[in-house]
Amino acid sequence: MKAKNIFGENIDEIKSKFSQATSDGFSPTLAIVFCSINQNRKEVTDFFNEKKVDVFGSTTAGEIIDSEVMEQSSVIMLLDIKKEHYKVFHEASEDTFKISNNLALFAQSSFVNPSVVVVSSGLTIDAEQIIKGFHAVDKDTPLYGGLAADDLTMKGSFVFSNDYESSTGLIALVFDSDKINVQGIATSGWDNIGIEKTITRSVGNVVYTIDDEPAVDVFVKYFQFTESVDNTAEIIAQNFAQYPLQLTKENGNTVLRAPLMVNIESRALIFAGGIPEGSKVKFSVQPGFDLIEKTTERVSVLKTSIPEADALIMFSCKARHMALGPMTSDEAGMIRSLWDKPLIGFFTYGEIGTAKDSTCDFHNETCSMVILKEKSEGGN
Amino acid sequence: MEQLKKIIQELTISESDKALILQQLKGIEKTIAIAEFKYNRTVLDKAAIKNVLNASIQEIEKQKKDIEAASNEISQNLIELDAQKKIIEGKNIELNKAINKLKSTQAQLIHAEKMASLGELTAGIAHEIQNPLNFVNNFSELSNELIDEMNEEFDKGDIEEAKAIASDIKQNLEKINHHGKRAADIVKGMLQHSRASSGQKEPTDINALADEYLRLAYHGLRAKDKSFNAGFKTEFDESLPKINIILQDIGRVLLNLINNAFYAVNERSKKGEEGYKPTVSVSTAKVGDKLEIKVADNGHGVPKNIKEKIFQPFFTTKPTGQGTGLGLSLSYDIVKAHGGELNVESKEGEGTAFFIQLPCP
Repeated sequence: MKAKNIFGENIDEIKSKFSQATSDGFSPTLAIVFCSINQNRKEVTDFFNEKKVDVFGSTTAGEIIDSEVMEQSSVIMLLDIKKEHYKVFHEASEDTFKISNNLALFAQSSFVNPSVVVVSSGLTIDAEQIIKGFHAVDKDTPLYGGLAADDLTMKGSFVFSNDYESSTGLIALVFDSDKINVQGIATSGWDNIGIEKTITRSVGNVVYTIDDEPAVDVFVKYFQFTESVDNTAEIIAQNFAQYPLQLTKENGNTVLRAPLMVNIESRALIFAGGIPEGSKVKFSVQPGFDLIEKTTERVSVLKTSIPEADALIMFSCKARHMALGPMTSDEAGMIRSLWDKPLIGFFTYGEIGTAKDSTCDFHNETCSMVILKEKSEGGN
Repeated sequence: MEQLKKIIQELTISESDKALILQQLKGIEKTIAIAEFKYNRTVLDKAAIKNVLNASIQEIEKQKKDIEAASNEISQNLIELDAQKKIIEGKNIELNKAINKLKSTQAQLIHAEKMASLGELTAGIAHEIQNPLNFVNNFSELSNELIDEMNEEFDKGDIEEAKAIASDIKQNLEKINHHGKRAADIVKGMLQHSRASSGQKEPTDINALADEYLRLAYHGLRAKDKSFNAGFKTEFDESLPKINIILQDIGRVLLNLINNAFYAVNERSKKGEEGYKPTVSVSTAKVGDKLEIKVADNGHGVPKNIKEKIFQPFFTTKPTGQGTGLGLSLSYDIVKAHGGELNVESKEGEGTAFFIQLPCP
């Protein structure tokens, strides 16, 4: 399987780059498209429909291509993967649990040993329902992916395919693991700080009070460094998202939960994933500047199970972008250099993957890597 | 930086050198941007960490104060608990005193019960002693007269007749001695009954014991109440072995049951039922590995509603002053202490039977 990356800021540029990429006879079957909400998705999908190329697409909060970090662009990975080795699933519904349930059933009916890469849109959904819904049917199939983003405008994120687009839905690539080796890892680096706090009132992913104090007031008290509180999206982006809550779940998994939106009226914070009422949390602070080395080291563990790769997909939290600033591209570059193959990715509002010593979960502040390698005909 | 780029462009050096310098400048630009970014982020992080840690310290201090307050409260509670403990200890001492007083009262009551039964015996004993005393008096008077007659025969010189009279006197003296001994035995029995229990078990002929107390009770009641009239029957298994019992205690049980039986038949007799023959029967028998003494009467019987209560202390159906209500209760305890059982069967209008079962090897 061969992978080629192209990028462009408009359809003409994309068409031109596509021609260049296919001039050597390369004939892609699948396009992984990560683009800014400002990009014209319709033009892109129309183009790929014309070329009979399947589309797996998501909007972003910044795009990653190889070792470059882009903004306001479209980054596309073209793959000449055999049609019988993968299937594209999509379904739109407010009921995240239900559609994840359906995704698991689809994966099971598609291949004996499936692996799934999923992206969900929706700014206020409880992304933990993706895991719960999937695991209700199937706890064994590996699940990787992230939450679509919208350049921090907090107006709406989208997932899309050839004739599909939804602001509250899923898109998934289901691979046949007997043909394609799919491996992944999610790694964070954030450290907890201070004493344990209790979530005293919450419903799903909306946290109203922490130790009986309105959640927004608690975050403002500790992490508000800008003056105005009117532009809530900016407050979140500039301050709060980089200081997620560390939550220890019932199954022992430790996950980070970053606030995504503010409800000024109820002084509640809307997180990307659920935080049960009564749970114990700690604040966490951004990692040191050695984060890139640490992340690369952790991802390199995968080299033992997948020494060679055809393509790399990166779901990296937008908060990492904020925390690493101009060094963000270095992270992508160093991870890419582990396999030295095309890397495509975007900055997300949440990630799905398996962290060290834990089961598959929904995370924030992580870099969730997925490595693909086509198995040779006689096995890997 | 932009100015620097312009200056480089204007330099009279080769284009390749210019490009090299501009390339290096770009690297320097990124390094500066990273340094600036690191500085700004460090400032923000420092503030954030400071805020969280300060709040944590405040929270810990607050928790420390809460713990101190809770600790003080616990200390206060401990002091109060200590005071309450002392009050309870005081009450315990009072309770112990009350228990000791109750025990001594109980002992007094048991003694009173014993004395009461002794009183009931007195009349019977008096009657029993009267008979031998009459013999003693009569034979001693008779002997006195016979000595006068013997002296007259000596004066007459009729030695043979005097010897015959002396022989009669000897026989009389033997009779006096016999009846004197009998009176002594009765007194001994009475003393035995009133004496504190020795606690020593001794081999005892149960038939003899039952017979003795039946007769003592009967005569005692007769002596106290001239109108009292009742028949009694005995049916003893003569083959019974002697069994080890505390004589005074089982004696008291028998006396109590027999007295109750006579009381019951007498009460019914007073009603003047036609053809009613008041009868108390005492029988013994071997039942399995037990020796059973049955004391039965044909009185009114025990009403069902009080049957459960008759072994309770202080329960009595007798008029005030006639019974302590301890008789059956003490009897029950005595039989239990002997490893036996005391049971009752009764039918209203037909009578009552008490069964004492004692271990019999």
